[in-house]
Amino acid sequence: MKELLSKTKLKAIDALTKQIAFVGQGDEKSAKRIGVVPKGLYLSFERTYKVISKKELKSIVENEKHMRSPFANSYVFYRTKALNDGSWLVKYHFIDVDKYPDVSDYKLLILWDDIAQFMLEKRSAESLILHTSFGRELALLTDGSIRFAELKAQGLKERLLLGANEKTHEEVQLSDAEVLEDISGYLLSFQWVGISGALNTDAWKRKQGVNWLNPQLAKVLGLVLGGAIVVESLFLLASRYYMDNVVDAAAEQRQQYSAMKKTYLGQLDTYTQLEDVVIAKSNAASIPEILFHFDNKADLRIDRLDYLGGEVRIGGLISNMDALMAYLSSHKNVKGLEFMSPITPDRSGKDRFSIKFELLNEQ
Amino acid sequence: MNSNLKEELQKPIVKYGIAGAAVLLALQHVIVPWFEWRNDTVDELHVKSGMLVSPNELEGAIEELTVKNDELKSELAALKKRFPKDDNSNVKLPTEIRALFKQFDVAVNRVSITELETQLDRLNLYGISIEANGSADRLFSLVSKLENDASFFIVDRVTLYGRKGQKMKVRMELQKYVQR
Repeated sequence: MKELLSKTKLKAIDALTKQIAFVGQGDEKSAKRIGVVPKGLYLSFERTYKVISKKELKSIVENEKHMRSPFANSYVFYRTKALNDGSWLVKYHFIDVDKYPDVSDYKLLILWDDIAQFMLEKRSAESLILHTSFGRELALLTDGSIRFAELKAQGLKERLLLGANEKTHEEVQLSDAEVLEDISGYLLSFQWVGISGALNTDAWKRKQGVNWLNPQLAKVLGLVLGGAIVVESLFLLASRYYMDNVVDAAAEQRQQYSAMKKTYLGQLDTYTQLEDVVIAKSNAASIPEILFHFDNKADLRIDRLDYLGGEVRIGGLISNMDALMAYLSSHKNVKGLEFMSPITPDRSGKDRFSIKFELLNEQ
Repeated sequence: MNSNLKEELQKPIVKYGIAGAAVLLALQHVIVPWFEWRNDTVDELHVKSGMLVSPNELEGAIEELTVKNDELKSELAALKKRFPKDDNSNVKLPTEIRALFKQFDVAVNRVSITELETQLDRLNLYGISIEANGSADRLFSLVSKLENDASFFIVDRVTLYGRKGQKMKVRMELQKYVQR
């Protein structure tokens, strides 16, 4: 797991390294996204404010950014730190945008101060003499803040710093690659998150226009399009060739199957038609069977019997009409029993009736 | 001459004009025809993919179909026995009816036959109208024979009427399906 994390970190460092450039080092617009502001490109100062809330502090700082800017057009970083007495220490850094216009192009900006502090903390040192492509300089960490002194400088401040500490300073020689690695390490430590201005919101908002008339881009797009057409064409041709071969190989069997299927479906159709007719055949022969099982004959006499496609109509005389109706109502093959006309008394003393019902074909 | 031509070609309007014309020509003669060919080929492949059956699977399907076909053939042969061939049915059926009714002591007074329309394309349908006299018992035995015989008739309408002790009068309409 450790190895995996270590590998991931190395890959991230490698990717970050490719995106890092130094502000003010080239005239052309940089395609890289992370800008390191070298020492000497920015002016810094600190102020302490006694305010009630952070909201109030922020509004003061926003005002100060404009009022105290040393340049006509500045890019401003600031960092706030709460002090023990309840006040706030704010450290400002101003970059002259007119002089270093490329500062606006980077999406993430970091200061050399912070990188140097990271280098000291990484090496657990209070002070280091750093040899980099920016020269030889003394970096001192005092009260959690970084301070620099150029070793060749003869200013009073530098001389005092050197005079007090020179003998104890460890010297570190850093190649450009090592510096970039330290910068990547700093980025991955996310210490820059607390610095206002590190994320260049204007650069993030700015849309990246694509120059479609760029011959290089047109060439790449043309090649990609052509390649896609060729690859898909080859795939389709190969698929067709394969399918033709497979289909042709089984052509005879498929024809045989088709002919058999046609015969089968024809026979099935005939069978279905004949079967449907047999299933739907009439059941008139069951009428006498139903009436034969009427135990209480009740002197039943049928004068007329009609069978009309499943409907039975009976007219006749009977001495006990209720018994006949009760019997027929309970029969499983009789449905929708009803009188066709009112029951009338006959001279014989029986009832003359006329009824109808539907004859079902259930076994 | 050549340098003049080169200079002309370097002018943006000429350069982009040629590029635009090239794009249009490519669209008309390459891209659009290619898309048409691609769509046709994809449709063709879709159709052919439905025919991609391995020879073994096809052989198995043929065997299965042969078995089912044989079974259906034998069942159909048994069923067809119940439906005679239409061999001059409008002439033969009245004779057949009279003979059958005679077996049940039912006297046929009138018999007529008409061909009816049916939606079944493999069968012809005849309607037979009969007027006859006979006892109720014999008439229903006859109806039972007509309905349940192997070569059956469909009884569409029956009307029985008469006085007790007398022979019943019957009007009957039968239907007979025969094979075309």
